[in-house]
Amino acid sequence: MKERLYASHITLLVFMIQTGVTALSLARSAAMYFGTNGWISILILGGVASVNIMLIGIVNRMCGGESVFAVMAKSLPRFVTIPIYLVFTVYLALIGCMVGKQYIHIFQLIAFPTASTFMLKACFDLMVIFLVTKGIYNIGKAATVFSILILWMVFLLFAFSNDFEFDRMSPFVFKQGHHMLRGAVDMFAAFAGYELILFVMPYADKSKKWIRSVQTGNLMTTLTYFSFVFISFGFFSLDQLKIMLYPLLDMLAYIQLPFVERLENLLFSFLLFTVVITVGMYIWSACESAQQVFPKANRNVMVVFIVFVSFLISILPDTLFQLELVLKYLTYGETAFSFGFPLFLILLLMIQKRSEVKARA
Amino acid sequence: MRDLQLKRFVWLLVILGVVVSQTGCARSQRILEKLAINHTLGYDLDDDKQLYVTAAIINQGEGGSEVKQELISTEADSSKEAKIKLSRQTSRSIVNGQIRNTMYSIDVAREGIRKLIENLVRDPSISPRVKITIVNGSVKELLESKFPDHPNTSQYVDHLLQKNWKNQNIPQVNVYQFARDYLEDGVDPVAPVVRKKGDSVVVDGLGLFRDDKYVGKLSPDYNMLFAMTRGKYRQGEIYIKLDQEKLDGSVMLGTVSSDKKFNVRRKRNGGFIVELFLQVKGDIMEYSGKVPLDNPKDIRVIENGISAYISGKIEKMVNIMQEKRSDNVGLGKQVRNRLSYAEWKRLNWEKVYPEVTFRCIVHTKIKSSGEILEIPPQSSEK
Repeated sequence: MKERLYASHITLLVFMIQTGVTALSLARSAAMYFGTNGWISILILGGVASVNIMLIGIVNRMCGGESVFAVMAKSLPRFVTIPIYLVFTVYLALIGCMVGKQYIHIFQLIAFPTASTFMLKACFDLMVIFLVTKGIYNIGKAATVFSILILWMVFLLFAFSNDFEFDRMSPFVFKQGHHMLRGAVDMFAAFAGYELILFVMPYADKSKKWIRSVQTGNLMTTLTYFSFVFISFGFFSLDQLKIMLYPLLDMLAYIQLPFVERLENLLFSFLLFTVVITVGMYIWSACESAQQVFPKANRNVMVVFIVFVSFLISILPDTLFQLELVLKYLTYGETAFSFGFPLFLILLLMIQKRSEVKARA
Repeated sequence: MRDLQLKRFVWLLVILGVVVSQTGCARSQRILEKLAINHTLGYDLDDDKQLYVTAAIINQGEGGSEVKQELISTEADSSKEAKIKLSRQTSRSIVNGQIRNTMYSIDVAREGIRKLIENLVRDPSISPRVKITIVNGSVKELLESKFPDHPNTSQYVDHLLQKNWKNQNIPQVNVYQFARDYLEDGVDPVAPVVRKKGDSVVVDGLGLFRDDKYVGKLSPDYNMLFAMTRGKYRQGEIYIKLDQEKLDGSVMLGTVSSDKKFNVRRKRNGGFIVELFLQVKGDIMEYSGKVPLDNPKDIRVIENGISAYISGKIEKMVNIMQEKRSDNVGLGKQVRNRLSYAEWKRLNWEKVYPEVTFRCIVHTKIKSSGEILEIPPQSSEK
């Protein structure tokens, strides 16, 4: 029997790709751009992502679970598709390496101020290589195991019940914010990642449940984000939230157990698992795309090559400010891609169907 | 064959990675005996209005058993400049990860402590739970004092605050809470005040802030009442002097718990009436009055006496705050939450606040009168 990714794997994989370091600053973005009761924006953004996933669902239904590359190859000549695939490869690998670098930078900021980012990033990339060379089925299984290491952290939110106050939220909705639309695009980065599921399509179990499990994954992400952004709004005052760089980290730092304090260093390390999966999936998708250009290349060598080149590129932005700026622009492109690409595929599939009908006639 | 080569290459990378990262650790290793662990930071103003920083440092002796406190101080413009200057005075490297308490003299607090707090929040090695304490007098003098029963002054003060906070005698105020209240619309921060008294340190009351500036203090009697207005109050004790017409003597209520609710109404002339409804429950632990405790009707008399006492005291407390124009209870927040956004923005709360009429309505319930009813007087006394 051929291996397949089943519904539960897909759900947790989507959840793990989506959650990442952006979650740390999400509450600040919500406060800055949306102002009072900005937590509502999380639900709206989750809804937008869900609409996007519906588009992907339409693509899946129309092509019957076929690979997106096969769909493109049917209608477009190779000299058009090759540059597109190359752009995909470069872009996805770039996002992957920057997301990884961002995690390393924050890790260094809070835990290892004297260690070199270069070294930490190298160790991190090594893990990514190990993960990606094992193939998509094992990435899926790893995501399932890793998600258990992340999900329990939701219960930590109860630790804040003492300092949580509904009065702090004020009855005003979306006041004292600015640039709401731009902010929404910025914040959407926290949800991005589910579009990679387009590349996973041919490896998944071919049932109608497929798209439902992607939606469940997105719902899990939305609810996780929602719960801690909501708590942040009752825990911090609005103006305080606006100046906190990583409110989630500050909240974790506030947890005090009878035997241990300053838990954030420990808890932040757990995020490593979701970041490894996120980066792994970007690199894997980049490889999928590159494979179309070089069909005969050895897959493992390709992984090592892509990770190595992206590692070299990730050395370039060396401050957290630069890095977050680069990431911001990269995710703008990613958001455009996640809406544009499915629409483009739907268009291609419609043209193909019409010509099929004509040919039969 | 190719796979084998790749495997070897990857293993080589792993070994290299481990070796190189190990050397990275060696550079940043920290040996406890070589560290000066900063426990308390104190800020004074000297005669030229210059910031004067004192650090109480805990030195772990060789062998691990003895712990000594060392005090170093310097003049500086900011806390971080002080750290550099202070490090010149010690043979060990100063680390901030274990700071528990920061102390500010009233003079420093009067000038505003926003910048000092900001730097504490900025440093990721400093916990958001670092306490904020105001010292009535000189911080340096307090930290330098030797208290015979407590060899380590900085830890003594820290434990004192911790215990009083657990018993709800003082509100817990740490860097996170101070920053939160300072940045919030319609509430001002507070901080406990301590002072040296003979051979010990005592809680001297509650420091009131307007924005980040100290404007005055409440006497320690108000500590518990303030806690009741701020949040849910659990497991406290309160001593009440009943000096109403029918009642005399005093009551000590134990295991006190309270719930609060605010109500805001508008006055005809545009001002506000803020009402605070308090539900107080407790057990009688001590009673020195004449009302017999075995009759539910008479218990109600005591309950009413307690209610009148608490509401009178709280109203007085808010009046003191209004005089100082510091909204520490957070009446502004209550008013804000009952207005539309446009109305709130139009309102100049700082101007309106001193004119707000505040009422406190207390409902007391006595759960029990302890293990006995009353010891009757002997017949010979009758």
